[in-house]
Amino acid sequence: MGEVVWAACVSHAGGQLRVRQSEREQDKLDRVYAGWERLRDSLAQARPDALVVVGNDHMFTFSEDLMPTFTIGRGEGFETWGELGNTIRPLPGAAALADELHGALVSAGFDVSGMPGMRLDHSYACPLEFLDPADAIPLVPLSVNTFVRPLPSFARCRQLGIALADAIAAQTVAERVAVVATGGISHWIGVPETGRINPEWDRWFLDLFEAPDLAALDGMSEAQFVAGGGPGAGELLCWMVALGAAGSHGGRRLLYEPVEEWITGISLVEMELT
Amino acid sequence: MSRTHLQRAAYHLSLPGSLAERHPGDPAAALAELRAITQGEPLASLRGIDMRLELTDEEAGLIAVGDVAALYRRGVHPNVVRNFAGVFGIDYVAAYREAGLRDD
Repeated sequence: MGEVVWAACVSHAGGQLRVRQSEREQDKLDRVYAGWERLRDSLAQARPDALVVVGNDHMFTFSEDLMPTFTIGRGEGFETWGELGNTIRPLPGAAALADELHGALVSAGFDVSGMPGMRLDHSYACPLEFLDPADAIPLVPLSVNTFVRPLPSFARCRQLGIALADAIAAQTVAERVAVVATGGISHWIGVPETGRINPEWDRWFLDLFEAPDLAALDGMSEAQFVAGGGPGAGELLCWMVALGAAGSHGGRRLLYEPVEEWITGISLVEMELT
Repeated sequence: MSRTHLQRAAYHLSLPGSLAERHPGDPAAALAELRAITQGEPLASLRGIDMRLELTDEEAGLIAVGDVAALYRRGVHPNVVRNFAGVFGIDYVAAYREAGLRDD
């Protein structure tokens, strides 16, 4: 029997890796990096056997020619894309666990695709750089389509998370499993509004997520999150998976910082498991 | 004219460590290599995924000069435009402003 022993939701701006100094925002950057250290220590104390990373693809691995709604990365390892100035590096896979979770999720009625050696972009590489700099924890990456319509709903993603928790509990290859979701909060990328951040909306969303106000979260529409948080806020679909996997008890924000250098509203949230 | 083929071309050219790396700052040369690859069997039908690139001369021209504002206006996904701009060193935010694309 496995167990979710730790869960968190984090922002993954690629700038966190490239832009570490700022004349105008160094205080914010320092608070974010300090928050990452606290979260890393918390993860280490949980002693996970494996880490499920719920992230998204920024249209490197997938394109409009093929865009699965949910995809599990399978196999012994994954390589990062090294895009936007980040490094290419190998990441360890939890192959047996991935196989178990994939089978269980499909049996539970979720049409999850499986992709051996799924290549991972900064959605994964960024948080892992801070949470597990030694790349010691074997991974199961779970990709959610957050960019190409039609998107899954917020409710569907939380249901996937609930099924993920059941699948983790039912398997016997990894006793202690951690879950981290990456993305958000507000950011506009590739569009004329690039650079915009909406702290008011971000804090409103965080209040809902911490409580948690499940009705409001499950009912969040694409029109709502795009208007408030930009197309980048679609990455919060990954957060919904982690919310469900952690038992839907909400969470506690370690920080929120609207970082203009990283053109993203940055937050780190540790999830409540009870 | 096809948004699908324009998008497909921009996507394949935007992948890091590949065509763009072999032709730094030169989307025209990268596009020429991509067209050569995708017109030859069996690569053109690799894995059964459609890799046809049926670009008009105008569309190929937009890619070749890295006209990211035009790509955005023609419906290429914003992430793909950002990625394409990234691998060829194009400041897409500045390009958008210069082309009159503004945050409204």
